[in-house]
Amino acid sequence: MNLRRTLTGALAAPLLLLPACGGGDPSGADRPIASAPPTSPSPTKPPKQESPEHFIRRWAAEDTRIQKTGDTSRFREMSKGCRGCLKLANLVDRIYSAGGFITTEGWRITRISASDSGSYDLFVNAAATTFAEKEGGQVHHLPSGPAHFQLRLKRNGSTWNVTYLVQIAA
Amino acid sequence: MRPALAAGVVALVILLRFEGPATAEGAGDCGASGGLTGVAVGCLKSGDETNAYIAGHSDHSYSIRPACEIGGLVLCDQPAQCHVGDHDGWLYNVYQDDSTEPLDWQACLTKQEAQRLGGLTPGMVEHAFQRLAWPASPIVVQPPKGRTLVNFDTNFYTTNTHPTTQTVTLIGQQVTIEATPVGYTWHFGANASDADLSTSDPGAAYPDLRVTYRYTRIGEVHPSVDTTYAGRYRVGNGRWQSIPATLTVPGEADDLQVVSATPHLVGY
Repeated sequence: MNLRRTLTGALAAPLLLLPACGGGDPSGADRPIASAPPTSPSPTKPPKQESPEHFIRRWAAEDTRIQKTGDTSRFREMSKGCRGCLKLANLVDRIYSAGGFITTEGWRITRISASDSGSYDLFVNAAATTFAEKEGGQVHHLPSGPAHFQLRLKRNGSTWNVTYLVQIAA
Repeated sequence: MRPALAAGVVALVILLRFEGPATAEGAGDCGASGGLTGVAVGCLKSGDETNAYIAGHSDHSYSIRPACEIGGLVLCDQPAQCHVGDHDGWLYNVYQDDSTEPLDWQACLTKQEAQRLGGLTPGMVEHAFQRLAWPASPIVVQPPKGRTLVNFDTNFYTTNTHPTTQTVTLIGQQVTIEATPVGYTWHFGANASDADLSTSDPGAAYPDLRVTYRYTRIGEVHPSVDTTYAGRYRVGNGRWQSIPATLTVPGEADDLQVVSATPHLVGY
């Protein structure tokens, strides 16, 4: 039993009832995405017509914010139908509701690229993370380091939704 | 003293198993990198990563089964599509030794990679289902003895109504394939465009007339019934999984004389 399974196992049963991820809008792949400098600020509000890259940066900022604040509502709105995202949101909710904590500076995006299959590859440098699942519970340390995630997006009016999230082994 | 020592060892093992991956995972694992998001979401390995993992754990045996979604335990008849690196692939859960619980990562494999890893693909099973010989349905005609009357409801049925199973070995794994009759196409041999009938009903013996045909001409006809099978399979004693395609087995024709009857007065 490793940490990933330990933490997610308790969430697995109810999540099996959720709809499967996938089915990203291929129209998102019709605009090539240039990688922005990793130091660019994370946008927090959508422009009138949001590009996939802008949305992914805003979503990644939310990913960090929910861990810092425990407020997962906006992240959930941006991730409708994304099973992996909901697992994270549920885990964060569970930690905060049990009196646990999460300390992290989150992700620093190093690259975003669109693939021919309509998915997006998100490369980040993740800051070290410390968390406890409940008040007074065992403290876990996750090291910093590079990570590669794959997302699929679906157009949602003038913006997007993440419908699928998976980490790709390095 | 000994029970106390044993309890201590058990506690230590549990602690190590819980804490180990939190600090460092082996190279090639999603593991701890990626922060809490990396812990929560599913992890996908390419074929190369999967092979590297298996090579690094050569004291175990591994098997793969098609999975229908990222991060899910549910197995599928047709694996979900996935994309890693520069190629598309199919999603598989990976099992260690005889465990019924998959590992906490999934493999995105091309068809060739899946075959090399000994993974049964649905296509392989479907191919086996198609090439195996399944029973043709015998057609039973009433009235019997190869004669029936013109302008008379002739009754037809078949006794082939139950599933048939066969066991084959595919990629070194014992696979049981079961074929169940789900449809029948009746050829009454009357050379009329409307003389074929498709039913899910195998018919029944007299007096339960469920599949009948009324010949309007005398002569010799050759009725038969084709059988459409639906298939399912399982690996070893695993869960049954359906085979998407169906298979039709033609029936052997019977000889039937359609005759007219001349009324005769008979006395008591």
